[in-house]
Amino acid sequence: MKWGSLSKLAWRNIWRNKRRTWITIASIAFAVFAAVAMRSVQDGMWDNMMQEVIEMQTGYMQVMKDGYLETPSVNDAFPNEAWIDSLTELENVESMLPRFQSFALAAQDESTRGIMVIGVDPLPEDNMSGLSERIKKGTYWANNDKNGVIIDVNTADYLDLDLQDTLVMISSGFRGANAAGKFVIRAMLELPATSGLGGIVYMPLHEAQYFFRAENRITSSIPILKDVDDVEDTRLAIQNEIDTSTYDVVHWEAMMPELVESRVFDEGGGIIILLILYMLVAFGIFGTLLMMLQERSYEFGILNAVGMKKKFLGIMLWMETMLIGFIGVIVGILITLPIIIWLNVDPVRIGGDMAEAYEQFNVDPLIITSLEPGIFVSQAIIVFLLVSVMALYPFYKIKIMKVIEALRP
Amino acid sequence: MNLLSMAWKNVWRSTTRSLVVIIAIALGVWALIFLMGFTEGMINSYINRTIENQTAHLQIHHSKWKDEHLLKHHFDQSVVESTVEEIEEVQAISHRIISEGMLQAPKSTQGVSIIGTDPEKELKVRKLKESIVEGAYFDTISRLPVIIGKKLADKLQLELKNKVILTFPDTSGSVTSGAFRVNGIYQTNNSQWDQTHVFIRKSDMAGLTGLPDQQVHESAVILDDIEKADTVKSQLQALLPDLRVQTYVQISPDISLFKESLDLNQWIMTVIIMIALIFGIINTMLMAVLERTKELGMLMAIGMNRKRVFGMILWETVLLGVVGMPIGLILGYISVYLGGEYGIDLSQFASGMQEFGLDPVVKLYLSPNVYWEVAIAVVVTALLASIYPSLKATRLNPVEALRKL
Repeated sequence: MKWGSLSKLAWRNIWRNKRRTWITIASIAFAVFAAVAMRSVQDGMWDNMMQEVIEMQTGYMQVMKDGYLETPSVNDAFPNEAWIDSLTELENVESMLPRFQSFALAAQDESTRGIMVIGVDPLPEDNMSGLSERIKKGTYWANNDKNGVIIDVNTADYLDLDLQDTLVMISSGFRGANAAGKFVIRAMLELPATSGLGGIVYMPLHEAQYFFRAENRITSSIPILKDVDDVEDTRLAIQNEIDTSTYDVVHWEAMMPELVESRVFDEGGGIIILLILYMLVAFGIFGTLLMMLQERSYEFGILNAVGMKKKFLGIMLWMETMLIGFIGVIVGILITLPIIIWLNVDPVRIGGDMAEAYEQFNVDPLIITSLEPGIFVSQAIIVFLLVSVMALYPFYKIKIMKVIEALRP
Repeated sequence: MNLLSMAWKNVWRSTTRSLVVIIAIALGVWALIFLMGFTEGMINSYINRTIENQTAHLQIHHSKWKDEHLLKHHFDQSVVESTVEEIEEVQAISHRIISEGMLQAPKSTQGVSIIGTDPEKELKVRKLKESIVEGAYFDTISRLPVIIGKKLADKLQLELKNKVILTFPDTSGSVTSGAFRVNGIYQTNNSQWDQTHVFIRKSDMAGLTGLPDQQVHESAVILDDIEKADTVKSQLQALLPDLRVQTYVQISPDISLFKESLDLNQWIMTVIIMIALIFGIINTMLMAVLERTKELGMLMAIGMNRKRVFGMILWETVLLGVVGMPIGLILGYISVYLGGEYGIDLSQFASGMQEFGLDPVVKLYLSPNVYWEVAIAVVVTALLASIYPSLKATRLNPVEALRKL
């Protein structure tokens, strides 16, 4: 028997009982809808957050002193020398972004607060992290105007400081030098709620180097990539170029293991719910199969008696189940698509109490979806496997079927 | 013969088919109970750890402390002490001096909250001594001891007996520093918190800041029963009108947010699983009706009215649910009970949970009323699922039904 006629038979068979087919399709479509919507929102939200954090804070990787990641210290600042810039000769590296980062105590009248000091190269830094878009008050540095510092709004409020006020900071500088300085506030910026950062003050690189008494030194250098899909390969290429006895190039995942782990944990929880959902749907399909076998046993007997091999009967039943499964997947995806495309183009920001709950876990309360094809493909694969496993039952039933008994009305 | 017993017999005429639906319902309920027990257990442990390690049941502050944690926002502990004595629900109280400051280690520097505490009294309101992983609590005699979090110690490469400089404001308006020795290293469930809070003795802190005797920034209270937090809070607030009394929920608003999101979460899970069940039930019952066309036609022909046919199919559906549900509930109860006794260790998969104050060993717990809610949800689901097949049965035309093979 030809495959073509088998599939034609299967197709006709599933429409012999339209109502039952549609209910089964609906149950699969519902599971696919729930699964695709959930995975898409989870993926979308995490991708968005990760990207925000990467751009704002870490970059895709950083070149730093070996051991600086585990125990960051101002003494690990290293000279910003030519070998760093020569990394731009690598294929995927567009430029190198220098940073000087350490901690200081900011004081104003009676209040004090710990604050992260980040020395940056103003214009290239803005290209990567979009700092200027986060400015709430004042202006970002310009080409010919690189004075003053930019502080985050919360710390400014806490210290009761306004634009043009003076920020006083003390800290320990490079190799035990005393660090103390006064800085004029030129702008204030709002940090993303998800950054998990306390206070931050940005200042031009040379100011930070002067403050920490570390002339021409930096604590890290961030390679700006041409193609961000190629992070690990580029990292390995850089690792080959640098002196790994003293320096290290660190992937962003290693800089934020908690974030990566939270994602795994969060998605794991979602997947467990989906597994349960699919299990219940499988029972529904199984119930349908059982009934179908029962009511069509006479028909199978006839088909077998007139010469259709049991193997082909089994394949036909497998095809029928598979067809129902795939129509279910397609219907499910079709229902989901408009919603997730809409949320992808026009993400919704949650407000109020729910937003705070999200932020507690450093999650940006922005409902955005991912249109990653893998999400759809994986649902199709799950249904395929599910149906294939269940179709073993009719195979078995057909195999042990006694034609004589089946033909008895 | 009444409808119910007829329906019951009908259910068991096709044992396999009924069993498939019953097992699906039982498994669905079981999985649902387990999942909800898991979430609630996780949130419960978060709340308990937060109370034990951070907030206690109540906290008392200067009324302006909330806006600015300034040295000058202090109050007299003896006033609080004498007020609290009158309230019998109060089990323990501890007073603290608190300041934002900077911790300088040989390798690096970090901003921290410095908590000056009375070692004896603190024992009863905070599980600090229990969470010490290296070194000792304040009981060893050492000049200027400090207890720091494990995460901070790792980050700054500090070990026991290492010297650190703590810098914070004093009453004269400038900053003061003291050289402290690491006497103990603690680790709570919340590593972010551990990284930013260090403990020293209250007497040392008072000496360095120059605060007058008896002046403190915070009093933490433990009650004999957590349920009384709100009442005792109002009681204390009335007695101490100049100060601000807060419950653990007010201090840590994420607790109430967690509780709310828990309800929402359980609701969504229930709805998803019930919808998945409904399709299976409808399909099965519909087939049960259609394959019995002749029989139903016969029943109607001999005088069973449509209402009773409707009722019979409805009963059959509900019975499927009523048989499956208790099995699921019992399995669910057993797994939540066992999971609560032994706990589920997730530390292999998610050490990052600690970052946010979640215990890596989850002890399952489910409020008793949730079992009832699930039971009701299953019955409602069965009723909803029965409508379509039952209507289908009543619409059969007896004459035509009888004619069919």
